[in-house]
Amino acid sequence: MAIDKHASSNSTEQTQSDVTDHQSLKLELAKAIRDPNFNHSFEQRRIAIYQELFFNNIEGFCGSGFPVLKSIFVEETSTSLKSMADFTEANLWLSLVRRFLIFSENHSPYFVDIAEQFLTFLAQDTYFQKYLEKFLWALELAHYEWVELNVSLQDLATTDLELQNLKDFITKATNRFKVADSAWALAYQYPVHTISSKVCDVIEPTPTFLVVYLNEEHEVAFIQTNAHLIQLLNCIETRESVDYEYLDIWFTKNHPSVTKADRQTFLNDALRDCVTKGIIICQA
Amino acid sequence: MRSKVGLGYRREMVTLNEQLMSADIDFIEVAPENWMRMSKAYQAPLKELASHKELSTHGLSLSLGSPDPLDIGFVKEVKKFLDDFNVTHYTEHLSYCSAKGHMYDLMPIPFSEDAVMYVAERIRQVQDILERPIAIENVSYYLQTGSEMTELEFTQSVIAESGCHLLLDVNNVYVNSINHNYDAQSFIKSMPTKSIVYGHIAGHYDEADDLKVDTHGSPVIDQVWSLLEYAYKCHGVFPTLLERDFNIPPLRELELELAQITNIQRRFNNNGN
Repeated sequence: MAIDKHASSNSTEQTQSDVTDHQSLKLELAKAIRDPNFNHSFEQRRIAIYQELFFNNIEGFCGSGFPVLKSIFVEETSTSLKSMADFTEANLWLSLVRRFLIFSENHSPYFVDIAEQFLTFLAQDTYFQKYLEKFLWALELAHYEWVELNVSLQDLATTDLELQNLKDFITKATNRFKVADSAWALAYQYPVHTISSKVCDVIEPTPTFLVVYLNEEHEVAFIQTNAHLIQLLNCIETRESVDYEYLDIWFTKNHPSVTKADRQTFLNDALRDCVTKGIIICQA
Repeated sequence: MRSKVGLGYRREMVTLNEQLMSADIDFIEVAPENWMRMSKAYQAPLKELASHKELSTHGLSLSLGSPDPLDIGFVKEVKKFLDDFNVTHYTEHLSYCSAKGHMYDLMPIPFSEDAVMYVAERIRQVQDILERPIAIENVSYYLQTGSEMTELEFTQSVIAESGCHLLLDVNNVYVNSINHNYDAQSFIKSMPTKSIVYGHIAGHYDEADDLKVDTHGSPVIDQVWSLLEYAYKCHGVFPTLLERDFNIPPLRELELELAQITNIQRRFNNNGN
């Protein structure tokens, strides 16, 4: 662990004047740890330990939540971004984590929520906005990575196998469909699932429809699909649970020109496929 | 009776469940924040292990000394977890980890009379909601922000004022005694015997000769083993748990350290101490 070699080698600790109240001291220490540029009254060598411990800890949670975003942004340095870069740290990634530590008021006591709070922070941070003009896909990529993390933490709910074996289980009037908690229907403007540090310079806007879900092995999986399926899943999700007849009427209303045969083929195939994959739960 | 050994249980250890269940371990300890509110599948390995071993908890996010308001909703969720998992102790750090928002690591409370009163009131509030006493741990710290009293006086006062128990972290006493130049043995000796529910022992990192960092990433050093022995001499044998959070070695290596705790405990019990 590197510490400030220029700090005084005198190991005698500085302590605060006793007239300073304990709450002000706590706030001052927190600020000094968050922001290395904050002017504080503590011994620099000792503050440096806290600064490094806290920053590395937060960076670890952000990095494991957003591995692809990190792999791209660590390559973005003052050299690559030229006049655009006004970093406080060595690269864009570390500078964003630093801003997160300094400016984000995080209210969740759960470590698993750090990723979501980082995503929310990025979406609102005015400093990050100017980089979004260059990395137009960055917020969508971050969202997609967060969804993958979220899905990985869900329980797997599956449809009763015996029910699946019923020949007409999809169209059975009493069955109700709901979207599994472990499935997310997603529509993006960029092909977020193909982005990596190798191709991030050539990402073109492409309407991208994905479903991220837990498969039978309890692993995070995704399918690339079309707008119709995403609309269908959104329709089910917003109504919590629906039956086949409801979906049939809903689809007819939204696509009046589609023939009955095509409509039913779409619905039957989509529902059967999604139930098999665990994206939709079918309840008798 | 008080001769128990424990091991800190982490997510990375779920594959070791079978071995842990048959190992010479009396109790395990988890950070509740890492298991609460998670899916049933995620919690399953802990459920399984907790049905075979006594479970204690060592919280990270309660932020007892924080200038931010106490998170009552969180304390209630902790209570539910303690009940669901039949937890024997809820322990937390005598420190704070939030100030205008969470920072997810521990900061030292200034050692002052006002700070004692403030944190003791919050401890009492938590104990009221949980309907049981909690134990606070003496934390390692690298910076002292208030000099009105010593760490020893501060710790004693908080325990006396709040009526809480103590989780005595022997490694932290050692680390702090080097970092802040005080006598580790006299600190250990001055802790209130009746308040000690169990102890922690761990390895640390040598930043410099006069600066140690409490990382839980290496084996326990000889000086800390000696200090544990001294603690038993002062207070009688108490349950003791090994913490290992980073560079986790094969279980057989941890079992050697656990056996060392058992050996020291036996020596005292055989001597009638």
